[in-house]
Amino acid sequence: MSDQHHHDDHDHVHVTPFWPMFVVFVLLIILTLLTVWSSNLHVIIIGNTTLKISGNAHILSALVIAVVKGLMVAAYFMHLRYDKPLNTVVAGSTVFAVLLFIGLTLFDVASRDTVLRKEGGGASVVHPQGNLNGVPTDGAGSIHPGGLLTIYSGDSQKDFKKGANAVSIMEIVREDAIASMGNPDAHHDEEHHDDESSHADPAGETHTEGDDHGDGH
Amino acid sequence: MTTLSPTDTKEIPGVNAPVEPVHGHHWRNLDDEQDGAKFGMWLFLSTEILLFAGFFCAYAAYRLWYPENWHDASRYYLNWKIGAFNTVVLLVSSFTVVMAIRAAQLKQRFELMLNLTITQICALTFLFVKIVWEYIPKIKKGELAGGNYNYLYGMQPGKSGGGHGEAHAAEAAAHGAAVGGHGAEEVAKGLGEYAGGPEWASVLPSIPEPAFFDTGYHAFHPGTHDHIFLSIYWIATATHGIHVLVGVFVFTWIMIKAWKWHYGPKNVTSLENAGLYWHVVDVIWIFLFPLMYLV
Repeated sequence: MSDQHHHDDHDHVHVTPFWPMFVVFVLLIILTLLTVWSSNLHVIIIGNTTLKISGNAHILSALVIAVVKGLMVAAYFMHLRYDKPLNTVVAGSTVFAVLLFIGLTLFDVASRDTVLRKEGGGASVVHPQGNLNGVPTDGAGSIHPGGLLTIYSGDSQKDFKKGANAVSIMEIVREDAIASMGNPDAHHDEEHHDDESSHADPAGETHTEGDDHGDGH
Repeated sequence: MTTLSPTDTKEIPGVNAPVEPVHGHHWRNLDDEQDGAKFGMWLFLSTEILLFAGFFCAYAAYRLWYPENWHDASRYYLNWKIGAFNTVVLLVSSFTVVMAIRAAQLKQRFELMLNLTITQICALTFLFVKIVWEYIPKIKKGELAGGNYNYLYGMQPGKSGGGHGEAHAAEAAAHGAAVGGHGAEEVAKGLGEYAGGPEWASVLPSIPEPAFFDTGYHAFHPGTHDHIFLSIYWIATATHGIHVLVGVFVFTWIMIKAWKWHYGPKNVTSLENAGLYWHVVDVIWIFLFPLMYLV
């Protein structure tokens, strides 16, 4: 029994080395400073070319650096590099679960409309993929068009920006219903008018006019 | 405490040497037990990570919907210098935990206690800076979560520190008009209606912020969804803060065990597990800091 103790213990005693840990620590500090610096960087000017760094790029770079820092902490400080692989499997599955959680939620959230109430009654629907009614937005319309996975090419891109192709039956029904939520006298007719004129109906099968107007009242 | 003469090199466990660990009889050997303990800790940590993933999910959804509001709110309500300072403090504490494990493995008692002490000091510094210069000012000004939000405290004449309420009000109204219909209305409505922070907040101490933390950013940007931004800020950072506080208690327990010679080359398991918990807390802050304070 004691012999077993002796052999097993010495097989697994691994003294945490100083220098790799210290280097990781210094790198973590450097990456923190890098994150702070890059978040203040808005424009890069190289000769005649100006590169404008968008807010989305800031978020992406901050996330990338944070992931690198997290991986370093996990591999070295949390000893995953020297441990049995099972611990890494647990940690990896957790990260996978988090990505599923946030990623799949964003698929939904990023493609839903936002409803903004207008002063004096009524509301507007702001589609995250573009501003369809020309109504001033709270910024939701400024998200990079395409949400997460939409790919634009050629003519479809121009049309999409005009708002022609992004119409769905849900949207028109909701426009109608929303118009009756606030001040029906002032805005109701205008809302209807806008629906009919500015939204092209590409396939011609999305809705029947009669039903929508009836429900909207 | 038994003192040893210079010629006496005998190591007595519990007195001048680490205590011998004994493995439970349901385990095959000590290594299996220690590996099992660590594996169990990882399983618990995955639940902690998923807890915070919920907050990050809420952050992602609301940021996606109101990006400009988020941008302005993050710059107005939060002080990135305080956030960066707290990040560095937590990184130092993570490093000293690793060094404490190393010291225990090498039977270096002084280094072990020193590193654990520094870890504790860093944790307490984090909590102090957070509470005194972030939370208390916010509570006093009424920058609270959700429906408790009363951000126009300083807009009332005579309410904020020094009667510049009117000047701010004019600036805010002008700014509100520039932001959009909603902004101006909210600002106009807020004057005289909002009372600022809760009454009991006056008992909280008001320690002036050191110049080191001054970002020079004082512009006032009312946004229509500030209360949501602050909700997510409060719930994410407060839950994280509670985890840091629990870490303080855990490390107090660890320090008592370390003082009693519990840790040695054959047994650093509970110290390692406490360290794992602390590193998860640190990693969560590594993600929270840029997402809330910087971008």
